Amino acid sequence: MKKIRSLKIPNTFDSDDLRMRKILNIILLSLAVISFVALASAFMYGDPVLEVLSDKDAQPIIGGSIVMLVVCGVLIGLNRFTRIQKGVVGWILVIVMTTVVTFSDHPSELADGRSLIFWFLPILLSVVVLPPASVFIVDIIVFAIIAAFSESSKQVNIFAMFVIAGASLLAWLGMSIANRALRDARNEAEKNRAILNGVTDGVVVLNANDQVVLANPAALNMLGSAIARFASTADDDRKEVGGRVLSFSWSDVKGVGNVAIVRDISRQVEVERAKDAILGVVSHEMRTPLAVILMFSEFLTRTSSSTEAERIHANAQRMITLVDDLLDHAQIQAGTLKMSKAKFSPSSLADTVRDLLSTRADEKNISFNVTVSDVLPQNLIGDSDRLQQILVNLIGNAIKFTDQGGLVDVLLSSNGGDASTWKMVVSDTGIGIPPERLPDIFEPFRRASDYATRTHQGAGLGLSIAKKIARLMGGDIQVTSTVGQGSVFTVTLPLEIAE
Amino acid sequence: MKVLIVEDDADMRRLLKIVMAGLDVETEEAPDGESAIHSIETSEEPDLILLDLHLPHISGEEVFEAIRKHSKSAIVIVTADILAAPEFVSKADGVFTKPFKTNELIVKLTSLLSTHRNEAKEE
Repeated sequence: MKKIRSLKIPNTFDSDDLRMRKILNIILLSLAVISFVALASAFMYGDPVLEVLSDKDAQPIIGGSIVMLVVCGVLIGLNRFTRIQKGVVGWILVIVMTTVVTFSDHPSELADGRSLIFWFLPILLSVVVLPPASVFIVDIIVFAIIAAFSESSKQVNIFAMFVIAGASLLAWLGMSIANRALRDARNEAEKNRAILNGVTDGVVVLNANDQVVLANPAALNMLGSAIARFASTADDDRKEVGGRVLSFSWSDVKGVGNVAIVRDISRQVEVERAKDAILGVVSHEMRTPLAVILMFSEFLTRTSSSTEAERIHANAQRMITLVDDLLDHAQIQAGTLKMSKAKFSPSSLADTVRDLLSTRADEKNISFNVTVSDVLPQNLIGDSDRLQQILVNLIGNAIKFTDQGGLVDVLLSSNGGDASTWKMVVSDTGIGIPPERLPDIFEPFRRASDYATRTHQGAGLGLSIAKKIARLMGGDIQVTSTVGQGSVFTVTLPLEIAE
Repeated sequence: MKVLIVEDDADMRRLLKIVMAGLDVETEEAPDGESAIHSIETSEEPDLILLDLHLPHISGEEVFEAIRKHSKSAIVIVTADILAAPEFVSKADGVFTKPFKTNELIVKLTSLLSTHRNEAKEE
């Protein structure tokens, strides 16, 4: 095949023509080889060259072979010119073959059908190198030749003509079906290619050796020269390439390879960053006036103990908690939230949390207990402010969703048999979370209670922030819940004991 | 004893002044970085400076560095910027984020001022 490719068949953009030119090339080359072998065999026996040339039996073989070689050479040359109308070379070859067959045998043998088999040469050739229907034109030529060499009209071998016509019909039918199938497959492939070229997402296909075997224009446009260094890294879903942020989703398609869908998410990322920046600024600008309101109202409650001042203070406090939550959320999203590490005592953490939330629990007549297990070391290493935030968020939530007279229990303890972690468990006898809502209660701005009724206040950031902080600490939060009976939130954290 | 309040928000300045009223100190106010630096250079050096980080023209961080170079005054950061606050925990004598508990600030200032007073006496 390499040899044929090296003959450089010009790309005519007509796939039918291209296919026929390729087939012609193969046939012409084969004929040239056969002619060369015939020519060579005439000289093979070692007789002197002049003797061979003067041998009357050898002369037709030598002459015929040379003529065939020249004809094949010329036709191979012509076949390469796109200016030559398609089919012309094919017709020339078919006519040459017909002529060769006509003069290779005694004319009467052709007419009476004894040399019937030879006629299949030009006929089959025409079906292959020309449009299938041209076989019938060749038939007419062959019939004309047979008729011309018959001594009288009675001698014309009708049986031979029938065999030729039948064979031609079968060949035409077979080639037509094959051509139709080829065309359909090509149309299908072209349709798929058009779709692949039209989509705005990049599509890259890699083989088992991580070599790019296919990339659509969108992928080339997005990846540019980076496509050469492209490799299937199934876990890497985001990458910056040439100032653009690209997302990759990989799938292993059987029989095709590793397929990557590449999407330009620069704009989306930019919007996300801008949103986080705005959130940061807004939070800060809101904290200053809120702090003034909060602290002046605190003064007022202390000096005049008015209920109005108390309400202002309580609401300002709520606002500031919300702003802090938004700020934490923005920091988590931007990946700038950092955890500090310092020595702290779990029991003083428990005391602080108890102080902060017992008033709220008392207001709803909820029995609220915070217990520190004896098995937990006296001092641990961690970010106690953030641990406190996790607990405040979880307990605040528990109190919020537990009815009057309910129970909220908090336990700080070791984590069973796992010596590398410790846990904080917040359980309540609240309304519980329906199983279908459990997967997304840790998503920001979502809560398991009904939004429409707005029976509970809050932005729905508390659980999301708590979970993110726990994760940043190398831990996690799990939840189990039964509707109507209550929920249990378990925070597991890596255990670092302070010396 | 003298306390310099560097704060651009007038309400917050007033609030800090009310807190200072509980302490036996003389207060001076500066609404921006320039006037703060000017005040330290021209008048009697304050014993303690309450410094906001978000200030017009010269930022609180720059004011902080400038004061640290020329003055021995204790510096307590009072800011609403909870993102910038952590980096001052080790550098400043105290860091409070707004809103802060007034009594906590009073406790901190009292202790800082008494150490400052003792140091002054020793000298």
